[in-house]
Amino acid sequence: MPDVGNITSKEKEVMILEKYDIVVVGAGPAGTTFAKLVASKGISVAVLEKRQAIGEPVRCGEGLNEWTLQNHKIKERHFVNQKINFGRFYSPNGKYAYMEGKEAKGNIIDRKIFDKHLAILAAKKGAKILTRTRVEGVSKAKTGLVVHAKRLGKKVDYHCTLLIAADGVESRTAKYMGINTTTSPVDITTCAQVELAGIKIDSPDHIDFYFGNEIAPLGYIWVFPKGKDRANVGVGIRANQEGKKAPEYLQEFLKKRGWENAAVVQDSCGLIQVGMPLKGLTRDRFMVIGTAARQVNAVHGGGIADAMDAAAVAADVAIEAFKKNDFSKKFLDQYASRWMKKYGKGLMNLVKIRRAFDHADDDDLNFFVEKFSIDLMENAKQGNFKKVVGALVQRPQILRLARYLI
Amino acid sequence: MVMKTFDVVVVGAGPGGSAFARTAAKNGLSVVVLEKRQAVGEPVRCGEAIGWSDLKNFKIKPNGRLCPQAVKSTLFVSPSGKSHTVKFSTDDGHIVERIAFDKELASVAASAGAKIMTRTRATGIKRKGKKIIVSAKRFGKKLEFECSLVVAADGIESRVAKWFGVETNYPPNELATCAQVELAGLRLKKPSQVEIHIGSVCPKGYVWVFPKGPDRANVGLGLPVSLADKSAEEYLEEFLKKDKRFAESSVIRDSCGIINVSLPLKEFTADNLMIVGTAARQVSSVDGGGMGFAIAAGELAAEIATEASRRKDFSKGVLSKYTKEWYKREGTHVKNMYKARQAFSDLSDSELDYVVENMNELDVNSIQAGKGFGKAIKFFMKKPSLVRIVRHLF
Repeated sequence: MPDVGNITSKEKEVMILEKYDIVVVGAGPAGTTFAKLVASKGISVAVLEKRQAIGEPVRCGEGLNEWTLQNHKIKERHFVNQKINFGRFYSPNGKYAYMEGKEAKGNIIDRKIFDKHLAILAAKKGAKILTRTRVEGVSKAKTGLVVHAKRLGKKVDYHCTLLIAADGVESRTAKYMGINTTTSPVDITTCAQVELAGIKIDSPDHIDFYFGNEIAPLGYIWVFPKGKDRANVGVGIRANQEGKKAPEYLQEFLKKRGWENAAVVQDSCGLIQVGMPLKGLTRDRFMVIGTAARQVNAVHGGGIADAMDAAAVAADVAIEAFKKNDFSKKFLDQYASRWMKKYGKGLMNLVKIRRAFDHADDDDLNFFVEKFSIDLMENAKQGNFKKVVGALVQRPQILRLARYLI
Repeated sequence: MVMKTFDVVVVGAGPGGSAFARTAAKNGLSVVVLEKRQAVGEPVRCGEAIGWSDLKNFKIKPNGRLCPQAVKSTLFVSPSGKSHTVKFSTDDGHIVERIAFDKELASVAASAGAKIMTRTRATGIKRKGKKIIVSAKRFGKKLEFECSLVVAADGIESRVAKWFGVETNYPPNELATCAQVELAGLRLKKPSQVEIHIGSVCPKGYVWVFPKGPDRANVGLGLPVSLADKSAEEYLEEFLKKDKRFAESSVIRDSCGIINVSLPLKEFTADNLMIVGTAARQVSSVDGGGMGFAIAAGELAAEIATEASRRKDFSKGVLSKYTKEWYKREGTHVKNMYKARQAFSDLSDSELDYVVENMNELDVNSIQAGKGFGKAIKFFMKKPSLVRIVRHLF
């Protein structure tokens, strides 16, 4: 149970002070996954969310692997709109490759219901979640950090022993802690998406990806069904290009598919950071997790699974920190090193692949799709680039892309 | 500028707009629904209770994504803590997730052939012969829609109806301000029961607890604007602090809004215009619920619009059949609910204690259904100090 007391600030307005062991900023999948795990060990934790509702607005394709749900022991599936059994990659010449097996088993979820569900699970374990609570600064205190927030127009200070930034792209909380979180446009993908309704999808159990420098330069188009008459259709392209913007590419694709007059029940746009993960993941009494730490799959741009995975590693370290009563950067760096070993290297390899892909022309893309296999994808992710290049050597031009993998 | 032609332009993709669009599209009319928000169903400003039979024409089944909890009864709690349970007269009560639910209704309308456009804000109308040109803005670009009929389904104090000269502003005493939180981490003993708390916890209004499972609930309140010495949010904060079940819980959504507690508009149509749902004040003035009303009105209006389309006449003379038919169905109901609210607002805390204590003598279900006050009048006549309440019920 947190201590609650009133203190009067210098400005003589009543200020409320609440105390928690941990304060998490941001109630997305990273923040609530972390909160659930630490709360279940009896650590008091508050999750502060600036929005009025968890999960809004949706800025996401809403695809999530089945194995991520299983790894994180999430039993319910009520948030699933559509189960997915396989994926198809379309090359510019119209041919496609299948992605099947464990990697392809997934779900198209309703993010608003899913994010809320993760928050409910955290609350069940004893985490305190607060919506409409905006963090405006952080300052140091003798025995911890003080998070200055505004809740429903009132100033509230949250005193904590450990602070977690889970506040998404270009984390403000990390900036308050002196970490530079801005990225260059070469590593930013801009996205536009519509959720279409009243369309016909013959077999909604698969997702489609379309590649090509004409239709989505330095990016791709996705079609993620949410049922036999609904789908998220979106495009992501790199931000540093001249010319048409993401919504225009999206309109062109919709026209091509005969969907330009389809009903739209949700519009969204957003940014994805597809560069290298953040280097400084910790400070004294501080850790950054999820999209705030750029823990994102740079090839497909998805971040839910990576956020939840990183949150679990950080939660383990936080629990140990409370046992040892050590919140130094040095101790917390175990989170950075364990995460790097388990997930970070893979994500960094994906960034390299993405950078190589940026230089692929349509012929290269046709060739990739023709040669695509799960093995090849896994080797790439593992960083076995020699094997990858070896498998692709039939097309010598590919070698010019190899230098981006080093 | 792009000009598109439809038979009907519906403004607002809530339940009323989607119900109209589904029925009209099914009947062969070309319909576009313009929604100013980026997603249908956001933000939620609602207790989220509905009777599933109101949705029968949508043919959607309740599931965990759309409706987390079925509810069977109401627990009325009086100012001194006395309580009385009333079983619902029907067994189809549900608490829904409107963020998913409204979208589902819109999708069904789309499958029936309606076009829906989010982030598209209607900005005005002009007349062109027998047609209406609706101007709109989408991503900063101007759009125009030519149509024969505009449906105002744009909620409280409808702007669209105003463009047609219909006064939709309220006198302040006919509005209630609401505040609601969705709480998580609860341990509710009986999630199939909704709770209504009355008395000075929320003067002349009520506090609701609508469970969305054993561990979460919408807890909110609404009180008349003119009485608000404190804000709805402050009343809610006090209520949550006092109730041990809620004092330390998590908040996963905050919402506030205003609801109508007045009588419906007298006329729902003008030349080339139909007003549907909350925009037409088709709301229960007792409980403030509006989804069921909006859906039924949307469907009725669409049938009349179909008739108008066959006759190629969208004048008020033809369209007003919708108003007449609606009042034939619901007129007594809404008037009785209005009376019930007047009577309820006249009761002091100790009188409310007495009412809740002896609630078994009142036929609460028929009062809520607006069916009449036979039993209620007898009940109030019995106690001399309450005889004055009876005048509200005639």
